[in-house]
Amino acid sequence: MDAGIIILISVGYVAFLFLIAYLAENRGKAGRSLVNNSVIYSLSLAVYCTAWTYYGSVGRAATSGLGFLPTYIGPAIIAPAWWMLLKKVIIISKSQRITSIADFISSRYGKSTWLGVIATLIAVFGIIPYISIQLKAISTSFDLLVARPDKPPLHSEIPFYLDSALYIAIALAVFTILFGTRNLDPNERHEGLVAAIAFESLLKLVAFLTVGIFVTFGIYDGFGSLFRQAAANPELYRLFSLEDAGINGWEWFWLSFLSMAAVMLLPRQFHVSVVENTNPNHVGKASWLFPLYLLLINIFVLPIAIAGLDQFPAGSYEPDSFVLGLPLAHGKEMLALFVGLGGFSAATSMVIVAVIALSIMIGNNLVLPLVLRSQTFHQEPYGNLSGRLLGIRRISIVVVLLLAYGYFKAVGEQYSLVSVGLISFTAIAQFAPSVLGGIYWKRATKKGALWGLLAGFGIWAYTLPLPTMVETGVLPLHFIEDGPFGIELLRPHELFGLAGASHITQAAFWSLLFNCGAYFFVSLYTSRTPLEVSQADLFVDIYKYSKGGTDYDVMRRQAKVQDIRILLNRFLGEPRGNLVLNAYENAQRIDLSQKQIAGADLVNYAETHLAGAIGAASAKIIIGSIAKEEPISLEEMFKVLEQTKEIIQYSKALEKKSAELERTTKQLKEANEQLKELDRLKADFITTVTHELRTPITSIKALSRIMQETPRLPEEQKQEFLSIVVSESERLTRLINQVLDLEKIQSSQEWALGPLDFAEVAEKAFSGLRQLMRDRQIQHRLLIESRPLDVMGHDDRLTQVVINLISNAIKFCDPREGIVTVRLWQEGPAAALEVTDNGDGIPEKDQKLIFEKFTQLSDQARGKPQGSGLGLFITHSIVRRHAGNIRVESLPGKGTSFIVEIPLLNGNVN
Amino acid sequence: MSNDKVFRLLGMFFLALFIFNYPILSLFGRGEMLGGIPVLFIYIFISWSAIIFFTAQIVESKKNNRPK
Repeated sequence: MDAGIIILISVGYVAFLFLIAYLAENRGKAGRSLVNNSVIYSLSLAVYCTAWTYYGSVGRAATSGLGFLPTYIGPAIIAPAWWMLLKKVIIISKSQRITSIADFISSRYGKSTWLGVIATLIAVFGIIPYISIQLKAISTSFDLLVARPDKPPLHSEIPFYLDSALYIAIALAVFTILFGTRNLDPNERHEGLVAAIAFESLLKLVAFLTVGIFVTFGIYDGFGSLFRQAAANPELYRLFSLEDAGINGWEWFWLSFLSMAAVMLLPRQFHVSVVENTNPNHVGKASWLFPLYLLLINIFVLPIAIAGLDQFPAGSYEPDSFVLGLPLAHGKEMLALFVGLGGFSAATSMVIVAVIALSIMIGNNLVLPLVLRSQTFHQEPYGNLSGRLLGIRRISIVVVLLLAYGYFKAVGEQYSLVSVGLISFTAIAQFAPSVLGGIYWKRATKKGALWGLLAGFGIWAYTLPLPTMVETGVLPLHFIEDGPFGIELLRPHELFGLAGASHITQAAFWSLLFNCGAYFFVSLYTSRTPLEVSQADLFVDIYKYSKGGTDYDVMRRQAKVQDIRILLNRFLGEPRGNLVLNAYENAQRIDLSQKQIAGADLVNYAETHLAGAIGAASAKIIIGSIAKEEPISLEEMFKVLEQTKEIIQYSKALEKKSAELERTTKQLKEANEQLKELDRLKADFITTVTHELRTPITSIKALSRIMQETPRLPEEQKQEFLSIVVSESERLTRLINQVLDLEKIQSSQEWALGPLDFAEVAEKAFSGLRQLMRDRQIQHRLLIESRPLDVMGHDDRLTQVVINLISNAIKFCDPREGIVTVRLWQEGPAAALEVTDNGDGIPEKDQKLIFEKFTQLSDQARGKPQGSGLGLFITHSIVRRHAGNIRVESLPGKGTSFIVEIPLLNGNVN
Repeated sequence: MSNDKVFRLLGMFFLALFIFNYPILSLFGRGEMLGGIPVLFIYIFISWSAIIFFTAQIVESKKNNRPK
């Protein structure tokens, strides 16, 4: 066939695509959007099927049978889950005006410039091999249609200026520039592009089905006859079983996993499924229409492969070219031309969308951040950047395509389409942890994402593209066979000694293992900046925010309205910039020309719109250049802190108050108990006192009455009665005095204590009672072992203590041969007084009671006890007031000792 | 968004994950033929169609969105 005709047809086809794009854009502007339609959306997703699918699948099926299928089974498996996954990503991206997969990752992790750069580099280097196979497919099919099939020319052997592939690359670059960079849309939406892509998807499906039907029903008599014929040949029968074709469960799983990731994360897939999406609900229909498309385009792959193997002698024809070779071999030139056009559409749709997506990434996430940080930008900030932005994109489109051509020329030709394509899939799968974690795991940090991506990308580069350099002679062969420096564990195709898996499988396994590991553990051991926290919140809880808008701003910023206007005009162009601001005025019902300073609201609004045009990270930098750099002004931060602090303090105070209250309640309860006890004691006391008072009064009254009523009472009797009356009166007096004393001791707050010699006090008291003891014929002794015994004390009270104790001893000593001993000495830091008698002693159970009020020890032998029962209680009280103590030592039958200890004055302690 | 719908679709995802992976695939991958067509080929395309059909049923059904 003549090359001129083929070129003419190709150009005509491209012109037709432009017409479609033009019509679609006009309809869009008229408000009757063609692409706002779930069927068109599903068709545009089929940009997934490239020359790889169109030519490469057959090539792959020719060697591994149904082993070509995981690439399409993967998307079919994940598609039902799109309703949660993809829809969430779309809603997030729409609210954040995200324009690429790199932008998505950068935005999620605090609008990080670095992450944007890394993700862009991974995408670019990952996709270049993929684009190169499209160039290869177009140029090979061109060669096939033009030249005779039996002498395929090698592109690496002809100089580049004669190479058709170079001119194809240049033509595609021009085509892509015309398609994708005519104007700058703040949302990166290209309705015309989507319409053209959808048309291309339809065309390649129809073309492939046509050739499939021709082969299966034209050359053979349907599936049955085709397969039966193949089954007779053991070489072909091998392809009917996965094991015999060299596929096992491990391989199958990883290949389908890689394509699950690729169908969502490939830059062009992200572009059509997320950025160009017009309504998140279109995902629903796409989740079954798109798998249906894949099913249809795959039904004839194995039949065509088997037919090709059956028809062409082994080695005479490259299996990747069977699709075109079969109609050609049967002389169907028009059919071959149509099939070639289908392949052309598959390749061009991929190249256009992928390169546009990459150019947006390169412009927004790689070049712009550098430009914005450079000095010149700040020196002449009022130029029109909108044009410059488009310039950056055009240059990156050309660069990417030239790089792809370079890769094709250097290594691409030695490998089949699928094996090169899978290298790209493995690179793109590195985004999976950061994206999936990003929308479901808030704790993930920027550093985690960064290290995960770097680890995965590093292992990918080492295990997949690097070994292909061996073919070009850049690296020696023993690098693969023995590992670098002869270290076998580092052999790129058997990394860490993992043998038995295919190159792709082991690369995917190791890179994703290290990627996930680094992502997870670095995230757990690093902290997040406030912006990361708020972005994480927005991404993970998007359904919450998409309903009510954000309830909080991390950035409280201010800027001049004029500056914002200039910025928007610069980056979006003047008409669009004005449109954006007018929309804001209308929504907020304000007039911006009246305002000097824009609040945080308008600044955020401008930033999201700029983010649509230039990416989140760049928009952050640009807005930062005009807004007052107050990522929450200090004052505001303090206010928030202050409020928080106040609340915390308040709650702490409350806690303290409640604890205090509890304590007080407890104290009150205790006090109440004490009061009750005191009340009871008082009542007891009064009862006892009145009882004690009544006893002498009764006897006085009785005796007096007898004397009054019996005038002739014998003198003797009268004397006896009178002496009883006197003694009872004395007892009464004593009792009353003691009660008064007690009252005095208990009520008086302070006694005037003074230094005095305790020995002298005791001596004085002892001499006062000496006569009494003589009268009663009691042996009495006073032993003062050391003196002076200076203490702080109250003279009268201490005298009372000694008198009380001696009186007790007198009362309770042996009635016939009484002995009372008083002894004083120094006991450590205290002055000690011991008063001993030789009476019956006090039973042990009573020893504790004797210091209580009104305790009188009844004694059967002696009858009614003498005294008020207050003596020892008063003694005890006085000693306690002197900070001393009193105790009793007694053995029944052996007498009793009372020991009093009063602390010595400091100076006297030896 | 109806929760039932989400769980049904998730169920389809897991079902697909199992029927399109080993070991189930290995049951059909031994090279047998049925009516002249490899069993593996039939199994994959039939079950694939089934997944598509049921996903479409779940997505497109209006009345099942909310339990009565």
